[in-house]
Amino acid sequence: MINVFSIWTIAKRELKSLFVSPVAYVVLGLFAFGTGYYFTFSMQRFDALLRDAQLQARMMQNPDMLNYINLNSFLINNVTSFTFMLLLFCAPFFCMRLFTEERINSTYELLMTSPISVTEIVLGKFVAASLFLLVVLATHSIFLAVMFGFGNPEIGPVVASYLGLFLAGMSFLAIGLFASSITKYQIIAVIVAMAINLGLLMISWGAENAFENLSLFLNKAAITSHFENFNQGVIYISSTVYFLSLIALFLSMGQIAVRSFSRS
Amino acid sequence: MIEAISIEKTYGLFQALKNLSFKVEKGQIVGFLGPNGAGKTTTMRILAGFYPPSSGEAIIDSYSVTRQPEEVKKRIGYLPETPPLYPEMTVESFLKFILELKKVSKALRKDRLGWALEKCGLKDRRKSVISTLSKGFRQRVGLAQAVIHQPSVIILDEPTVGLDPLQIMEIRDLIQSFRGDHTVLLSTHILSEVTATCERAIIINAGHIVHEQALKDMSEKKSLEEIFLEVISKDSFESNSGGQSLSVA
Repeated sequence: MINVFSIWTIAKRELKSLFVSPVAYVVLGLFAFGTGYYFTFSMQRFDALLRDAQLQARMMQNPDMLNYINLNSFLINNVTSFTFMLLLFCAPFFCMRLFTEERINSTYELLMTSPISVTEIVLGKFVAASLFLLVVLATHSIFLAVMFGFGNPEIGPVVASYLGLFLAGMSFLAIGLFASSITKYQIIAVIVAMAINLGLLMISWGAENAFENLSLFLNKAAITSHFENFNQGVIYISSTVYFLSLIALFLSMGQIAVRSFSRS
Repeated sequence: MIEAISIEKTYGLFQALKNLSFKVEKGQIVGFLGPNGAGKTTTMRILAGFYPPSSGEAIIDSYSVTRQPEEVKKRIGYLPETPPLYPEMTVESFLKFILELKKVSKALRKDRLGWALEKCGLKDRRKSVISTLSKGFRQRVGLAQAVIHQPSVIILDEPTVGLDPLQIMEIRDLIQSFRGDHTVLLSTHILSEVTATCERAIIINAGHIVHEQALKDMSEKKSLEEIFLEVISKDSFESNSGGQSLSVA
C-alpha cells in the first residue's frame, strides 16, 4: 500500500534541503537568466520579422501575408523549444544528488530501516523534483505576462506548450532519478542521464534514411516529436501516454535499483 | 526481544555469517564483540531489516524481519556505523523529519522531540546546522534519531567509535539509561565498553559465535580481554588447521 503521507514526508524534506542549499538558487538563477536572455532576443527577432513582413505586405498590397506571423508560433514556441532543450541538459545535474547523497550520508540505511516502502521513497523524491520543476517553469510567468500584456497570443496553444514542457521535464527528472539510483558517484549519474536524454533526442535522426516502418518507429520513439506535438498546440493522447510511460518506466527501474542496492 | 535463528549471509562466494543464533531478552543490554570483519555490521543490518539473510530468520518482538518488515521497522531504532544525517538540516528539523518518518502520531511528536533533545544533550544545539556540529554531537544526533520514537529494540553499530573519552562516558551513560525499557544490542571492538555497559557479551569471529559470556558471573581471574583473545585465537587456529593450512606470520 502506498501512503500519501509517507511520500509527502520524503518530498518535504527533499524540498527543504534543496532550498537551504545553494543548488536550488543556482539552478533557478541560471534558468531564469538563460530563458530570459533567449526571450529578449526572440522578441527582437520577432519585431524585425514583423517589420519585414509589414513592409512586404505593403509592397505587394497583400495584407493577408501578416496572418502567418503570430506571437504563438514565432515567439512563444521558440521560447518553449529552447526551454525544452535547457531542461534536457539541466535535469541530469539537478537530479544527480537525489540518491547518491543518501548513500554518501548513509541516510540510505535510515530510510531502508524505517517504516516506509521503497516506492514511497522514490515517489517522494519524484514529487519534490516535479514541484521544483513547477517553480522553475513559473519563472516564465514574467514573459507570459509581458506577451499577454502587450500582445494578444492565443491562450490554448500556450497551455498546451507548457503542459508538454512539464510532461517532458518530468520525464527528464524520472530519467535523472533512475540514473542517480544506480551509482554512488554523482558524475556517473549525470553521464548516464545525459546519455539517455540525448539518446531520446537523437533517435529520430536516423529516421530519414530508414525503411518505412523503422522510420515511423524511430520518429515515434524520439521525445522531441512528442514535445513538438504539444508545442504546436495540440494535446495528443498518444504523446501524453508516451510521456507518462517514460516516467513510469524510469521510476520503476529506479525503484528496482534502490531496492537491489541494499540486497547486494 | 531480539532473536537470531541460524542466520547465514553470503556475498557471492564469501560466507559472511555462518549459522548464527542468539537471543537477547527484553530489557537487556548486550554487547556484540568481535574483531574487524567478523560480521558484526552484517548481523546488525539483517536485524534492522536493511537486507534479508541468505537463510535463517531474525525475530524482533515476535515479528519476523523478512515476513513482517513493516511491523519490525516500527519497533526498532538503528544507528549505523556512520550516523545517518542530512548535513544541511538543523538538529530540530532533522529530528522532526525522523518523527514523521517513523510514523509517530502528531500528538506525541512535540513531547518526543523534547525528550530526545534532553536525553541526548542536544537542547542547546537544536537550532544548529548538522554540518557545523563536532563529531561527538553528530553521534548524539545519530543516537537521538535511533531512540526518538522510543522503539522497543535499539541496535547500535559502534556507537562510541572516534569519540573522546569524555564523550564516550556520556554516550555510555545514555545507553545505560535505556536498560529495562528497551532491548539494546550494541557492537564494538572496544572491550571495556562492554564491561562498562552490558549484561552479556556475545563474541563472534569469522561469521559465527565463538563465545557467550554473562558479565556478572565472570570470574575474578579472567578479564574479558583474556577471554576474548583466548576464544578468538582458538577459533582462528581451529578453522585454519581444519581446512587448508595457512602460514602463520
